[in-house]
Amino acid sequence: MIKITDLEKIYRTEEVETVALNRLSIEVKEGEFVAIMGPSGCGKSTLLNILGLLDDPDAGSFVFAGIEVAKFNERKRADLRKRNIGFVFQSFNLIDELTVFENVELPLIYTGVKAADRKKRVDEVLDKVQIMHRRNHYPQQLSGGQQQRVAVARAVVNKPKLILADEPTGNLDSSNGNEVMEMLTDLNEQGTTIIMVTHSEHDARYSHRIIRMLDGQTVIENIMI
Amino acid sequence: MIKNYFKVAWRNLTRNKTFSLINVLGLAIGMACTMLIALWVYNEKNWDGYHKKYDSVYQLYVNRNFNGEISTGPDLMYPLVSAIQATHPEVQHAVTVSFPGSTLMGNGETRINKTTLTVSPDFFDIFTFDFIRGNKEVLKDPDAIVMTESTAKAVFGSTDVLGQQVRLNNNRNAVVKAILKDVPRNSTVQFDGLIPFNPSSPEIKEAESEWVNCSYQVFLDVKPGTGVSSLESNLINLIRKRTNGENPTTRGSVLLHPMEKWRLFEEFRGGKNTGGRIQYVNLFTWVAVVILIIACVNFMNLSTARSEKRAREVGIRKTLGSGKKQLIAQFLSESVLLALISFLVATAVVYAAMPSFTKLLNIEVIIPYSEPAMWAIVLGIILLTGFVAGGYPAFYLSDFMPVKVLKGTILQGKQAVLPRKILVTSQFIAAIVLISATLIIYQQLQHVKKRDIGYDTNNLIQVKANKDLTKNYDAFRNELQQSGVLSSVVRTSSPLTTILGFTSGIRWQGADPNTQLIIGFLFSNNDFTKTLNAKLIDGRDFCDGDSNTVIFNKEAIRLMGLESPVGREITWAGRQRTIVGVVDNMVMTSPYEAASPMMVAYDNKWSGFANIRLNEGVDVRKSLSLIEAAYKKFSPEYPFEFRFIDDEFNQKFLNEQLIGKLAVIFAGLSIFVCCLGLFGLVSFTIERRTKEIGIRKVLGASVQQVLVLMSREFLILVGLAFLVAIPAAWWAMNEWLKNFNYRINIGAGVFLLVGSITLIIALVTVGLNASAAALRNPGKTLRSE
Repeated sequence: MIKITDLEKIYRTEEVETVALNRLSIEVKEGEFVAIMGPSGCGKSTLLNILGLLDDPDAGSFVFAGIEVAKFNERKRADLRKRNIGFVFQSFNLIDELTVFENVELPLIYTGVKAADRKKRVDEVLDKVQIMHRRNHYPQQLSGGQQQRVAVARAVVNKPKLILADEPTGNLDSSNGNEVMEMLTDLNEQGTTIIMVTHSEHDARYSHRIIRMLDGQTVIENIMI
Repeated sequence: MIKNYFKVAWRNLTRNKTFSLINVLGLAIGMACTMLIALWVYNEKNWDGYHKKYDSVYQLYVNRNFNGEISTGPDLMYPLVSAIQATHPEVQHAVTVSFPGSTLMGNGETRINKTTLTVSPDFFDIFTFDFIRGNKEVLKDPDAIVMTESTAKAVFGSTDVLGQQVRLNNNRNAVVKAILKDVPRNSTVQFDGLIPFNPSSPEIKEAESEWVNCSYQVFLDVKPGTGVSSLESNLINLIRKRTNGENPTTRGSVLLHPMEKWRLFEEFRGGKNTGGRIQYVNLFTWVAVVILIIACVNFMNLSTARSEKRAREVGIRKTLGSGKKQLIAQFLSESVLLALISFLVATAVVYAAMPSFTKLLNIEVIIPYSEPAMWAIVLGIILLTGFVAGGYPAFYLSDFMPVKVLKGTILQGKQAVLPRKILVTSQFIAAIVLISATLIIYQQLQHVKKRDIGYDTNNLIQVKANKDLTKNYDAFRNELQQSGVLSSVVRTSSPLTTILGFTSGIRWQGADPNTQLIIGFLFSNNDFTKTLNAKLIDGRDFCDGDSNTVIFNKEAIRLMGLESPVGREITWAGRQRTIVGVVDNMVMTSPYEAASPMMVAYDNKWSGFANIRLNEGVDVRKSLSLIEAAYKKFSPEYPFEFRFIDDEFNQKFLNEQLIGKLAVIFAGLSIFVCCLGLFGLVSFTIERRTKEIGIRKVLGASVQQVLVLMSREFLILVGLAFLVAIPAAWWAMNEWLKNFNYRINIGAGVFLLVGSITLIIALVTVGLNASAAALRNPGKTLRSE
């Protein structure tokens, strides 16, 4: 599903040049659950951003679902992103001005789904993450675990092929964290490819494969059995 | 999607109350100013617009050529209209109209002076006035009178008075044959009554062959497609053909002044229609635009200042698939919604301000509800304000990179702050220009008001004379003098605040035969200089025993080139006259112009106005009742009407006073809106720098030092605005002052004052906000961080 080859990303300021990704090559197959680990600054978030089409590489190839997307412009990236990728963030990133329902509805609005259909799909997914009873609440009225459940619901509502999760349990206690990881595992079992950046060895154990990174390169890959 | 935009927009507005309040208030003030000015401009531009023949009616003007000097006026000869009707089929209708005059209307005991026009029968074929009773045919009856509704009520107490007789000027009766609705205020042609010319009267019979003296206005209704310039040359040729001999009129040209220009393009210079009130209309149109832009700039500034707060939302939306266009649409929806709310507030403000505004302008402001253009403009204002105000923030915010904002690494560098600084500076440039302009207008007005006009208008009363008063003038004067209320009295042929007569026919020995001086004149009698407190430079005042004597002003003597003028003879109007005195220049016409040459000719019979100089310190009310009693005694058939000359003179400043007042209002509001924006911006800056302020205070900074730190940035911007605004204001106001011959020189003082005012206002605005931050307990602010 994803094949990146010799991917490079370099951040330059007036005085310093930082190599975030150094000729990185990775392949992720459809239906895989991959965890990316590594110390701070190793390039894992940069990789996730490029995989999520939020950032573009300086060099190298990025093939997504058989299409070379490395040179896509912002408009094409946005279009591909909204149809295929769901995001789960450490800090949830819900919009404070929107209710739970409206936050989850948002990706469907951007993909042009009709209102009646949207309502049905949002209710389904809210029910699935067991947050239905809070559908008309605002994010600040929810606990961290509830907020992340909403974020997961939002990530999956469009039935994306790929979910990118950036430290999804980073702001949660262990019990809420486990709930979220269970949810991601369920999604993966239903066929969604998941790539997750994490510092937690515990969380990484939910994945099929761990890619360990250092200085913008993969240093080791562990296959989980 | 749109619903979602507006929903989020509404929630954003209600969550950030201070921000929304500042924006709504600023935009509402901006819009209210724009709407009021727009209404004023609309009314000015639609002046006379209710006349059905608005597009085809012209007033005829003559450019008289006095040896190269062109003087433009609407006064024409009586027989011209019938000559035009006989020879110019392209002129559908033509009408002769007298200049407005006062007519005494009597019914039983009621005696009222009303403004009337004497008109030829085609009057209603050119002008549209609504009949309540009667019809346009009545103007064919020389014994008829047409009254307005108010006049009929004033004279008869009712409008149901067709067929009733009214006594005119105590010398003839006329029959009320038609009643009109009152003349709308937005009509150039104003009257209380219309009287048809009487073709069988000796005056009109004489006027029918008079092609030199010009005392009437002429209006034409021209067929569509008629070439105006060819008609103009045909008409001057007609005048030349009919006039026996050459005179300034035949040497000149005629000008067809279209009805659509009567109100706003009323000035003529060098034979050309050069503008007039339009310059104020244009000026205030710009003021409206500037104020609205200032308010829009507030919105731009505050929105971009809040961008750090909105950045996360932008990031999330982009991650979820929102494109740049959708984000731009979202932010524009917010600003359009804000503009809509502001518009509703502004509408309420406009309605509340309307009575005072119409009073100030002294016009009836019509809100054109039925005009689709008005609704288009309203929608235009909302959308334009929304798009102008929201455009920059929309593009700015939607450009954020989701990766950066979600990481929280978006920081507002110099690039982001620079446009905001430019916007604040531009706002203040506009406000400083407006304040400077206001002060300069005020200075010019004061300068002209304090001008030595050559005579004393205080304690001087003008009473309209009449046939009886003229006959009993000496007895009237003696009676008043015995009462002790007046120091002197003089009769003049015209009011002292204007010159109605001009002549080029004065001849004297040694005059250059090639120069033809135009000199204003009036008739007067004994005690002319004494009553006016005019300064006699040479010779003497008029006195008993005078007959063919004249007094000139200094300017006339200078232009005539006379040395030792007193005792010299001149010839004028078929008589030889002796110059007995020279007075200092007197400003009787425009106080903005240099004094013009003037001649006062002695005439003991002319009936016009009695000018009464009250004794210093007398009780004015008591004096007036004594004057009224004397007036009634010697002319019981006429109503006593008087005017204070200083009030009359002050009428000359009405236009500039109005401009001054409007400038004060709009400059004040613009600086207020600027300060609202500054206030908002400072509060956001302070919010961002709360931690910094806390740390600085912990490290030992005093409140004063924090205040300076917070204020410096903004005061530099205001200072910069000042440096740019001053040359702009100086240039613009110098151009305006060129309209007046008698004017101030713009000094540095006014700009120092503007600088101080702006600085104080900015300082207070910034200080109010910054002091709260500076006084806050650093322990608390740092803990909350």
